Amino acid sequence: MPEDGGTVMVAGAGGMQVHGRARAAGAPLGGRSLGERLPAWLVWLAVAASLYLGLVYAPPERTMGDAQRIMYFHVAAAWNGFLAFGVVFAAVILFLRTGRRGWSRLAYASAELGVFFTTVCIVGGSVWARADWNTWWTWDPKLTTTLLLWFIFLGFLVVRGSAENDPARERLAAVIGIVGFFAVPLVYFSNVLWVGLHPRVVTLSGFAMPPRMVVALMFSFFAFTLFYLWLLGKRLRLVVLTEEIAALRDRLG
Amino acid sequence: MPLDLRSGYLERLSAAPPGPHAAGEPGAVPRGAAPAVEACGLRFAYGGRTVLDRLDLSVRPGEVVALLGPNGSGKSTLLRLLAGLAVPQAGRVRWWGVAASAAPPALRRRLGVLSHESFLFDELTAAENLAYYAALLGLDAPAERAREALRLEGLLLHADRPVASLSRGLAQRVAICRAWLGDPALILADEAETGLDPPATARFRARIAAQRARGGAAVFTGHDLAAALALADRYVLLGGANVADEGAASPWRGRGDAFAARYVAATSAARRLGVRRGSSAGGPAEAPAVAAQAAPGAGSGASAARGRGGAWTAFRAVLGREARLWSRGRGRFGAMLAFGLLVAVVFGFALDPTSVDLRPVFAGVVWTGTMFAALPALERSFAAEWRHGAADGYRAAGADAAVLFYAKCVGALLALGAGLALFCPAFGAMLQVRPGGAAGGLAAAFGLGALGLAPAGSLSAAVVARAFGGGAGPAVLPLVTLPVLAPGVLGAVRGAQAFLTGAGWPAAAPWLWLLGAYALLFWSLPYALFPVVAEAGA
Repeated sequence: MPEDGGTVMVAGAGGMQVHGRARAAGAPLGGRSLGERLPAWLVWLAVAASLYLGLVYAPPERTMGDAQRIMYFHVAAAWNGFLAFGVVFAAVILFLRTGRRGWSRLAYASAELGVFFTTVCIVGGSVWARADWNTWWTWDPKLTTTLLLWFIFLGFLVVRGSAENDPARERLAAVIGIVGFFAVPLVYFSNVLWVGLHPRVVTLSGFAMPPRMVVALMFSFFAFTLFYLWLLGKRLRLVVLTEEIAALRDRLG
Repeated sequence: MPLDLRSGYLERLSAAPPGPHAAGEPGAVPRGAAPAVEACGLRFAYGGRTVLDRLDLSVRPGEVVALLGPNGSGKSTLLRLLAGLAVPQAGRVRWWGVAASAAPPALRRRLGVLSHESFLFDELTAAENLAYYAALLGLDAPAERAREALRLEGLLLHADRPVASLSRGLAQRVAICRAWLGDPALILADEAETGLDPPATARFRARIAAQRARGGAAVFTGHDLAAALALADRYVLLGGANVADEGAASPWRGRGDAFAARYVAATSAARRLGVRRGSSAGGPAEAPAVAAQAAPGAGSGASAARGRGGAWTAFRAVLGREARLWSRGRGRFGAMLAFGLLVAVVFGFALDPTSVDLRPVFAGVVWTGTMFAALPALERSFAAEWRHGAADGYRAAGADAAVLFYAKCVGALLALGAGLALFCPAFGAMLQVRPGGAAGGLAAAFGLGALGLAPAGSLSAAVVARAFGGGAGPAVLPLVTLPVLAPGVLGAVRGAQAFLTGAGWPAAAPWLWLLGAYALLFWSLPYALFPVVAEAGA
């Protein structure tokens, strides 16, 4: 049965080819991606240390008490969201310029993590708001614009998720990624323009808090960034494998 | 009008004047030995499937090539690549020796592209569609050109019917007229005979024969092997993502059965083994020898330069077409206005303007109504560009995709301005809000808001229309567009609020600055991003 033999041969060759391509696409810069090279123990150690610093080492706040400790994770989650969306922006531009699928996949993985960390930021912030402002939500500029950012990248995920392995439709998602990123500086500077309730932690004159709090916050930035990179490596690998399997299924009919 | 066949139709086409413009303008087809179209090492993969791989093809002026192959063998993809409508992942396409990526618009316009999509707008009449494409090509007197093309095809009776009401065969004949509008020196026709009646089929074949007689080139696809071999100088058989077999057509004329056997053998062998080049199979004759008699220069018709064109021509053509489309959709425009006004009714009913001062919420209500009415219209407007591939027809006419966006955007801005001019007094009356001295400031905030929201809404609606077409488009539209529009709407609402509540310019100024920055951003971003959207289907 030469027909069957031929089919099997093609599938085998395709499988090997896909494996090679999956590795290349998983790390747009070649080799293993940064996230994949991070040892898990280091990430979890950093997260545990930042929990200790935030929950035990840092002093309680005078008026809010222990509820203020949410800040160490809330601000770091916000930073991770911005970082993730920044990575999306850079990756979609590189994807449009080079046409390499790896960049598009990196953008997809990072956007998903960006939405995740922004969700953490919004939920944590909401609990803080209940403790400090006695409301779960208010239409403060920073809250409003962060929510918009969340929606923009949700839109990105919807368009990117429906691309069905078609690079042409991934390019459409890339357009949203670029447009959406311009909302990030708008979010950051919105509380300059629009006087609201949201506190400003970092001002031109430095940090408006005691040194122990600063240490806890800085370490939390560091730990959350490691956590993001580590998750990004995992998620990226998953995106690559999912899309390559879908492509294989397409080819086999 | 099948009588055309007997009344010297072919002679009239071959004697057709070489266009209204003098030869020698930039972009005229170079006279010389360069192939009309040449593909080297083309590779195109789609969704993980390699459609074409390392494909070479060359078609000389005066040569007609039949592109054959089973369904899904990549004929249409190859034609799109040859037409410059899709970009290969590897390899390159040249027209008359000029790289497709570097070809000036005037050279691009020497291509007549007939896709399996008609490139026509359903709402416009046959004559209006052709006049639009004639204007895009920069031809003089586009309306007369359109009528003349329809008369030659025997379609004058149907000239003023909307394309949506035409049968498939009639629409295909209008599409054929469109492909021939610019006096093309290279015809790329994909299954052009689908749906044509016998006289129209004969007329199409006469057009191809006339094209060869004038020294022009043509590549066409089809499944009627006998007809293809009779019409072509050479056949190219696709299979296994490459050329499975090629050769002169003449030895096979009248031997349809023998050729069919060869066709099946070559394509199934290519599919099984992934044959790279078909030349080892040995065609009855070597291809280059075939059309040698048809190479007296590039041909008189082929050397005629096209219109001046340029961005301004395309801009005017699109804006004129938009105005026609808008006037065709008067009913929808009315429905949109009614929908917007209903928003005011709901708010008026819910908020009770007799007991509550609605000045602080007035601007928000106006923009809510405006956005909900305008967004679906914008999405529809961009969906129409891709429904039958009209955006591809626009690009095939050598026009810049960014110009298409800006022309549509100016149209959207005018419509938005008209909508606001109607909504503001109507909403004011219904919600009992009188702007008084704040009218000037209100106009500034709303005008600046409209200036930014028109391009932002257009860009995001274009992405949704492109990504989801008619299907999930309306459902996804708010999720993708509203967050992008929000900064503009916030600025317009807060700015207007400052005036309505009497705070005046000092309070409004930051918001007006925000609106200015927003407008600047969204008038400049699409210059780089809209071509990505337009070419994304490639």
